[in-house]
Amino acid sequence: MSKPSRARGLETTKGFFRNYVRPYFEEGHRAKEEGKPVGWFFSTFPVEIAQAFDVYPIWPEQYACLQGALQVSVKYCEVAEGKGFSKDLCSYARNTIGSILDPKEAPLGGMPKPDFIFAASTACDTHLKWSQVLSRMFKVPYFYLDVPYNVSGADSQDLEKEYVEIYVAELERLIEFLEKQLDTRLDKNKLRRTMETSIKANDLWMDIMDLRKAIPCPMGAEDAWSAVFFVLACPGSQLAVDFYTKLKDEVAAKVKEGQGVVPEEKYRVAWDNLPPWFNLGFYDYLKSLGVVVVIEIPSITWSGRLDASKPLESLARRELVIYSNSTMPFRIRLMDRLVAEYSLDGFMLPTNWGCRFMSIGNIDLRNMLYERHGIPSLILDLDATDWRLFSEEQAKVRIEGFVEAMEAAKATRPRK
Amino acid sequence: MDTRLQLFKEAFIKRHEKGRELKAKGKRLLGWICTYVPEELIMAAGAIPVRVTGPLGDTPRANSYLPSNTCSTMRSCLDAALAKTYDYLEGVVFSNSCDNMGRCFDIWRNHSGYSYLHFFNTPHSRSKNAFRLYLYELERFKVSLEALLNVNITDEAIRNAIRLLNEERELLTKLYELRAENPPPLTGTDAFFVVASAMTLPKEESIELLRKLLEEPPKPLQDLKDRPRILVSCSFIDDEAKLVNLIEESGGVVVVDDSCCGMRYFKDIVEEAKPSLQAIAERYLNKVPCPFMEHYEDRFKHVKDLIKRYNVQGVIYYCVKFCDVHLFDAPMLMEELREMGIPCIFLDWSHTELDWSPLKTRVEAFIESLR
Repeated sequence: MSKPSRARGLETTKGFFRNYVRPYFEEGHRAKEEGKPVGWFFSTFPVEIAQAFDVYPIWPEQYACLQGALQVSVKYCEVAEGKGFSKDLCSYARNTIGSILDPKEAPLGGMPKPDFIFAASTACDTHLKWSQVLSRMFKVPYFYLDVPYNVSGADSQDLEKEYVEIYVAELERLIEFLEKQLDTRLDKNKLRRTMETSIKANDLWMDIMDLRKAIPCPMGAEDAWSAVFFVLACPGSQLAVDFYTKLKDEVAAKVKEGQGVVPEEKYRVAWDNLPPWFNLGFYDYLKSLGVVVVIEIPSITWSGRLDASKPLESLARRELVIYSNSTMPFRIRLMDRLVAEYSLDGFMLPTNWGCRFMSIGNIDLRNMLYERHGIPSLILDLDATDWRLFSEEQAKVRIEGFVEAMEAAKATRPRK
Repeated sequence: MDTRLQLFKEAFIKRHEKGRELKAKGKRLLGWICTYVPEELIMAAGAIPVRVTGPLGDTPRANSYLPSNTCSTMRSCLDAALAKTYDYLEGVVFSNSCDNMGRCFDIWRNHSGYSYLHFFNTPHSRSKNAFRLYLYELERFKVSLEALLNVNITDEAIRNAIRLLNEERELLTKLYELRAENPPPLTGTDAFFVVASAMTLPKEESIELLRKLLEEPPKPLQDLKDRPRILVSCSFIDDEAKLVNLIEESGGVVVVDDSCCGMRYFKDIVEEAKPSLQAIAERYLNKVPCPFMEHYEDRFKHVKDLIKRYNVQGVIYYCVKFCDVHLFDAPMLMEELREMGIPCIFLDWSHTELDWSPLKTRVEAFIESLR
């Protein structure tokens, strides 16, 4: 396996681990020592509510990526496998469970121990089961936000009223849970302020994503995969707003100067699902072929704009249509939009070995993308942190074929 | 084998011919995939509910649409649909039970050819909001069935369906209780086909077969005496009960199961004294849970109760490959069982495998260790 390269190109994200990730975890350890509550959250869970209760948010999935990027994830996957967790399970779950079981050399001294664990049904089965395993390991309660699946694949504004109301009712149940656990009342002003901060952070992030529509693209996937951290882990914190303000300025300046990720941008592609964290240098390889990943589906669907006048309802409307919680019609419309807005030449549809929702449907989506837009897609066998399930050489061969297909499609497609 | 037990197996094997006959006579049949779909409403709408399962073996048709890390149950169900095995069904009802099922719903919509596919939005917990959702989904399903079958579903029809299903559930429970004896009067393989036929035959027929069997219960089978008594904990059992049969050929006897193709299908009744839809919601959300539900501890407790009640000597935790929810529970449940001193073994397997000998070797070794 090749060494992970520091493939990021922007100044703001330089030294992201040293400047942001490590301090964030150190702060979490400090909070824990001072007796402040620490919550572990899984993607798609509305973190803001707990942030309004001063719960320090830790995001195990990010820690899992980190262990991937530091190339220790497989070692810890093997620890979990030794305890009976199947190799076919999500490698994020396996590697975090492994480093909790064998914490001696865990990066950053491990995650600060949780007081509560929070998962939502809007992502996947794994989040529920993983949080149950963790809750047993630490003997702490978990809260499961159980909400409807977007069966019709409706857009946010067209969701069934009852589904939205049930989501909001679950948020109210979450507030009751936190009030009981922390023996305190919700400070409504604080919730309002947290939501306002989150709205700012989300707006800035979405503005940055919009800036990536520029040709040439000013920001590649390798920067986005790091930078998305704040909007997912702690959207209701000033830290997020400050970081994204700086990042947006830098990206906007690049657009103004017409500066792209590579000197010659030949192919613009979107990336569905997760990256190979253990080998972000993979994006260097893509760039060497003139392929720029201009947008990732997780970057724009696991966050998004909120309405300050209806904070809870807008959280519900955003989270219910997350692509992991919606049937295919929603995903198709989303992809249609991305193809047009980001001037895509191709789509990368990596599977994730331990993830059903990121794998099933890719074949149909590939065919659909070709039929509707005449653009090729590449289904790449991948796992986000278990490199035993990834063959770089094979992937390179397939990418060469993909580039040829994009070139051929370009020749026959009228350019907008 | 008691010849009456043979009837269940025959009925199950011939279920597709039977389905086509019924359809030719003007009956309407509707498929369902997961035990969280309320059969009560399908019956109240005048249709016959049939569980969709997939045969063993390769799935060339489904392989064109599904990646290799999809569970083999969903793979073989899709393959069967594409092979027109279920051409007598009006449509199929899915449940929001797991990611495999949820995502495969998309693939069915794109390729199965059924014009009617309904997705029942099953919650994963028992909070008040989960009940609210289940009730809302019952209403949504009812409206959808009424439109499909051009009927009006009355409360009386729902109550009749509840009574019929409860009767079947009670008869199946009685039959299972007989298996607590040493020796039991039927093998695990026999029991599998009884439940399998209950899930696929018109209820009146399955009830009639069960009544006749229990009028004069089958006699204890002496050659099962003192064999290692096994509980199989799993999601789906394969269509031919090959796993169960393999355990019994290896010298064990399966005396009970924790499977949605076994006890989890029929355990727990709908309370007839309560308002019908509310009672249905309570039954489905409170029943012994599949591990996709939040209440995994209830299932663990249930398994432990069964171990005592059925004098189980060993547990086989059988996982269909890529079934995440069962896979995650495996180390937790097995740890608890080992603490109780119950030997257990974990097997993960795919129903698309052609050569079962590696599984057989492991089962034989386990049974041998229990003697």
